[in-house]
Amino acid sequence: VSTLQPTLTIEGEADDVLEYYMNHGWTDGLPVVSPTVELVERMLAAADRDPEETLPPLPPSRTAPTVHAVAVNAVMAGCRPEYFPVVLAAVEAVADPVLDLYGLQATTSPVAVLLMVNGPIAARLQINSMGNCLGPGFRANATIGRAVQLVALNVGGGTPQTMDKATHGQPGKFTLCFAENEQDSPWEPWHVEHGFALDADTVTAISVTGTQNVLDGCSKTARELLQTFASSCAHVGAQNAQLGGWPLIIFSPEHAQIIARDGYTKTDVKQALYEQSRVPVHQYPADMLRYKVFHNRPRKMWSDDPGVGLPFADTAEDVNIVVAGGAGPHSVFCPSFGLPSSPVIRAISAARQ
Amino acid sequence: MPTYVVFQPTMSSAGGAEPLASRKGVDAIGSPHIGLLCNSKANADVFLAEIEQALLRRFPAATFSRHTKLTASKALGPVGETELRNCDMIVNAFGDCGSCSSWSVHDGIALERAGIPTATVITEPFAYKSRFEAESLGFGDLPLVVLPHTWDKTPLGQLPDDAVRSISAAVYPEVEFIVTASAEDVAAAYRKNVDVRTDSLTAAR
Repeated sequence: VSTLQPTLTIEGEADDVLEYYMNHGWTDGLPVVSPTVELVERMLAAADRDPEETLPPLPPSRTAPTVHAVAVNAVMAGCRPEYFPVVLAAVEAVADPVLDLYGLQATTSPVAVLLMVNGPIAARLQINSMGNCLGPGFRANATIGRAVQLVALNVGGGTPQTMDKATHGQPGKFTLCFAENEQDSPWEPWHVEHGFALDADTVTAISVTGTQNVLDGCSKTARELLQTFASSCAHVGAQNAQLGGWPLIIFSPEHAQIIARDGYTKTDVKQALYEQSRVPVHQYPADMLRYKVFHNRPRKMWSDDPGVGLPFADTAEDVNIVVAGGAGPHSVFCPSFGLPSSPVIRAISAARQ
Repeated sequence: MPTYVVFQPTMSSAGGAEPLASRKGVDAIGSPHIGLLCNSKANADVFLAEIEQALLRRFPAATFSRHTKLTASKALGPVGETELRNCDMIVNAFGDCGSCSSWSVHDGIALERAGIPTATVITEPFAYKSRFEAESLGFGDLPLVVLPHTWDKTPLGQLPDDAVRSISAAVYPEVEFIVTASAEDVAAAYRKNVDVRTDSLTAAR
């Protein structure tokens, strides 16, 4: 029995196909490219995978997407075929239970899955790592992230309002994909930090509840700049302040260079932020301490002393640091979903030659 | 008129309906050992404390194990499962948000699979989702106690203690039914069902 996706025959104009897909809840609300047999075959041809091969199951439906189903959704998202190996690796990353897609697809939190690409493939596919890398204008960024979201919707079953219970959601749930700006970073790239060779291609999935601007165009030293970050990352409403987990900071190249010039390695930055980015116990409401903080944060952090500060991550190692963006004095703090969701990194298989 | 041949982007989920744990029936229950699984959400402890008192009135010789999850948005896990392993019945409360209700469903299924009748308590906005999740996890008959999410526009987790206690008292008969009626009766009552069932709760709202 074939496990390829069934075809539909729709009589009408191109917009009738679109209406059909919209009416069936198969899109994210934006128009999609019609997944014709020819376009899907071209997508499949770009990866060295059996179309009927299944990837790990996606919650909440627990359905295991076939390579073919991923290709259909990648066409719909507007991907070029050469993006397909990245999309497949990204789907495998989001399926890893440690990311907790079961929780992410269901939660009232606005959390989105951020995808970051490392390695030479980023430049080859023109995945933007520089100015406006989290914004519009770049097909690879826009469509790779969107393809994974469509797979999570159409195969994983994360239908907004009925299954995806986000109170508001966030724009990052349409797409949120960029490449690390390795060439302008003073530090080793993310994937090297995580044990991959510099020339390896990887994609990483991280849960993020938002993107918060960190502006500092004045500080001249690492110590002063990190003071700005310490304040920006520690506030009661951030999920990490209540739930621990793996917060992400996307340093702009300018901020990263100033900090590194003063001799700070990535490890030093993580340690400094762990020590300085803290929410004093007295800032938490009493019932939040009782029900959330003292249940979710490590026991060693529990304290009745109102002056004691709780760090924005449970350990210095849990602070995630990457570099991306163009010129300018802005970095981005991305609080994560918290303790239940840890980042997942996957190698991208070589495209079919 | 042109014709387009296009692929459908969705796949159907497998679903399933494994049987619920067998129930002893209320007359055969002498001195049950009862598990109170608190998922750590605000007011879940208050809700369960009142349920405990009601169970104690119904089963005066009952003994209790209490376990509070480290975080509501993860599985109970082996430590909690070990602590609750010897229970004759469990009350699992409460899933009042998206991810925590999902994990409450997950835990409820794990406990039923381990042979322990379990009443899993969630709130109304998450009922349809929870039923779908239970079906996708192969356990479509999972009994879900569905509470209204708000009273006078205040969510369950942010109500004063006495209001939570009155909700708990009102829903107790449904909890007792789930953990003591026959598996067949419980399955029949909850299969495909995502409604608030306790009339007094609906009225109180």
